Amino acid sequence: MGRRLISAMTTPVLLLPAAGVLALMVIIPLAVLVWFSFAPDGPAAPLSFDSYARLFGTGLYLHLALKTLITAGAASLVTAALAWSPAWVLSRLPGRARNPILLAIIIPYLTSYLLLIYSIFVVLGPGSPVMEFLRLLGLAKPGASILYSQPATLVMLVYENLPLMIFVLFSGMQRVDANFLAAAASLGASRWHRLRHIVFPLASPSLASGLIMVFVPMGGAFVESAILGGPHGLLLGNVIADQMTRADDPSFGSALSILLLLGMLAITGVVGGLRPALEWLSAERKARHATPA
Amino acid sequence: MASKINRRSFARILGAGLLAVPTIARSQGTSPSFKGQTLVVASWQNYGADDAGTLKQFEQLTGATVKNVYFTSEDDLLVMLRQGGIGKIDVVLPNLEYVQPAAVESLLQPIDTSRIKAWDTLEPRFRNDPSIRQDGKVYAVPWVQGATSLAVNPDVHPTPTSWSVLWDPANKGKVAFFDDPSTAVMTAALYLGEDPQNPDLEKVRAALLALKANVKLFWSSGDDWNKAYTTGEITMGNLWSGLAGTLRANGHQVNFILPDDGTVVWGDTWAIVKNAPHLDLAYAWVNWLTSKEYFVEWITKPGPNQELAVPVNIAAIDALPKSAADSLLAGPLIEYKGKVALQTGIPPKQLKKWTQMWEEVKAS
Amino acid sequence: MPRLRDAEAISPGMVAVLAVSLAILFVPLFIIILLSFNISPYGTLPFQGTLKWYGALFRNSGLLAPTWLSLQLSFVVAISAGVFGTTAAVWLEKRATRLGATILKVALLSAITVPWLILGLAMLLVMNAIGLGRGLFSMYLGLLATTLPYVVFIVAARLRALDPDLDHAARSLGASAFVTFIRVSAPLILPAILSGTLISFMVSFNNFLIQYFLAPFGVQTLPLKIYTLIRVGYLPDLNALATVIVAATCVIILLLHRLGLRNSGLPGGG
Repeated sequence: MGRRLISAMTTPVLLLPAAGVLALMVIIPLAVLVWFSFAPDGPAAPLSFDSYARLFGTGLYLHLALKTLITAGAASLVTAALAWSPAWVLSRLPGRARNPILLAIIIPYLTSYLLLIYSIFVVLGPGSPVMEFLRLLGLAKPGASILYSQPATLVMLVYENLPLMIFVLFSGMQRVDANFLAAAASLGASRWHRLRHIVFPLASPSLASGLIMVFVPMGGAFVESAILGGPHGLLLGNVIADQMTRADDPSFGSALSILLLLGMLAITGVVGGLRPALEWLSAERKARHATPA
Repeated sequence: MASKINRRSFARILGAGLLAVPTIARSQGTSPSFKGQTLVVASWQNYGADDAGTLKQFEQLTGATVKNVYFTSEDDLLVMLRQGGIGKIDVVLPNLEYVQPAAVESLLQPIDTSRIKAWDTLEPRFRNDPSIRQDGKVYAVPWVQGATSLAVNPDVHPTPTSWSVLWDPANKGKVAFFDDPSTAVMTAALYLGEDPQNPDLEKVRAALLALKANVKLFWSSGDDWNKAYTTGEITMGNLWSGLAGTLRANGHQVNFILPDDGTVVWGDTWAIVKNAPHLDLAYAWVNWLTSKEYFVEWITKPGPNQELAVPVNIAAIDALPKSAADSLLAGPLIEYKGKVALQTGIPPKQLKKWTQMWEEVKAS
Repeated sequence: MPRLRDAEAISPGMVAVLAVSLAILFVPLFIIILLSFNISPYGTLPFQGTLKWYGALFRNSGLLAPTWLSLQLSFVVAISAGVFGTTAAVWLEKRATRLGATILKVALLSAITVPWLILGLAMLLVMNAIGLGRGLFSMYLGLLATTLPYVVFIVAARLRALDPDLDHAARSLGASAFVTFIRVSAPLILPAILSGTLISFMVSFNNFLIQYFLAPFGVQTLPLKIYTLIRVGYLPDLNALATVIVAATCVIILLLHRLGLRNSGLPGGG
């Protein structure tokens, strides 16, 4: 009977703190935002679709949303590509060597995002060693800089999300047992073969997780594009931010945010559906490699 | 007749005299009898309200302490007041443009101008402006002013006399423009020769789209401009007069011009919040901040990173040493004879249309 | 057996890859440190050495108190997120119904999708409505809500990938579900929990927007102090502050390493 009681209490105890915080600080505010999006003339006026009408009225905002999604998608993929190798090496290291490095990775990010953006500003600006190097390679004109452009925003988005991606990939790559690799190697599998058929399938669920965690916040990002993006680097997040800080139109801002959220839920629903498929695939691989030849 | 002034009446007169001292001091706006009170001031950071030196003087004069709260945009100011600020914040620094919206929402309380010492020496352009008034009552005391005007790198460009230099195709990719709807519309209107308070919006939209082709950066903070300008990424644009002064003080050459076709002038004002918990102290604050003693101290010995601006109190400008007034460009601003587009008084519906148009220009 | 060793060993190539990646990660940091000694008040090159920003930092910039508050607040938030996020992840993987899981996932995704600028405002409205208003506790709740997703997703993914045979073996030997979790699953997911907690710390430390809306009047965290400089912009002593923080963190990491906490509690792969 004691066991039953403990078992029954487990769910609330496990879930309640997180659920409570989320309900109070996310679900209810979200409901408030939905209400805002239908109240463009203030709380006292009758509800209307005006904000949404304005959203779809010109093609401008949909075009901007598409541009934002493409930028975020590209930035996420680049982040994953750059994070893959260090995450893999970290997952092979013993804890003694690995743990200090994990801690060290977040050090730059304790200095505030704004400072990091400013330092990327210096890196991409005229006169920086990086630009000098590109000039020597003939890839850039003298005195050129990549500042105030879409690529500059992309560089910043990638840089900001590298630690998160490294951590997530590392976490998943731990699954890859060295013994499988050794067995495969002893059976004649090349490095590339091992990567493609063992490592990648086993790590892909965490790759999918990581991509989601990185892609989703990028949809609403605006500080990076405000400082580095220039006039043609505007993202959806900038428009939303403007509604709150310059235009005093929280209704339109809410409408844009709700649409962004729905879009993200749809996209991650798609990616989420891939995950069971990838897991099944990896289970197959594991079974095949575990059975004696 | 000596008996008329006996001891009792002498005591009464003396008593009355002694009582008069704190009363007079209080009407000056300063009295150590504010001991134990804490004034909550909402403003921009590093903009006069948190200047260490003058803050200490105020605290000594009144015996009170000051708590600074910062907002990052004028709209945020409104949010701050709407969401929990009433009853907590005493004084606030709205831009001229935002006084009426705040007053209409009952976020501010009317000001008794007879209690404002510097009222009569405020520049008439601001003192008599309708946008600090609502229903016949005054809701804000103009404090400082500035111009968002043409700035050009003298090493790269000869001195221009008109806004058209920003639209010149030869300057493609070299322009930084302030990211603010009313500044943008008014500046474009001045360039086109239209009425800045009510221009033809379609013509303005076309002009702004043409301008965008030249723009390298829409700046929203002084730092955006400083970084771009000092690294040579941009060589011209529109800029706040205070920032031009600071750049010069740091050794960077910049030519700040009030063009022939007109310039945009703005003002920042002090207002007392509705239900301010320390009303008398709030009046003491406003009186101190608009006094010439404060301005001379703030402008000649500012704390680190303070952004300075030209006082609206003419007596204060006259009291400044010449070098300080010159670096602020106070003279040219006061004596400017061209078209002044005062950045205020646009009806809310019209401002909303301007803002939407600006959003669309930026997003296109 | 050369092939076996070949597959298991850390080759010099791998070390080089890690080194290059870390170098790239640290370039902006080197720039910040460089600029802390540079004379330009705008944080741009060219370089000319000076120590004046360090002097300004300690004398009158008002940056130290906000930094301390930020560190304390983020620490508390990170630990909370680590604990509550892990328990929620366990629930998600072991005991959730389909509907419950979906609702939780939607809530978590919303917390990181809806731009914090607008979510923060909505949070403030709700806090005012229930009478809590702006305050340290509200700020704590807001930061916690926006960092939970990272912990839950990372830990849940790791849990899902655990070999169920290990659990079954323990249960078949008579261990209760609780004991099984503590002695079998938990040690294996500890690196994931650590990762999630570190990410939480980082995210909540930097979350200016939530702090902007929920901090009590007159209280400043470091991001608040920095981002409200927006009118003038940048404060050159910031680079000096950053350098000091980095130096302090490095010292702490070295100390932890020396005190032998290198291996304890992190057996998964150690």
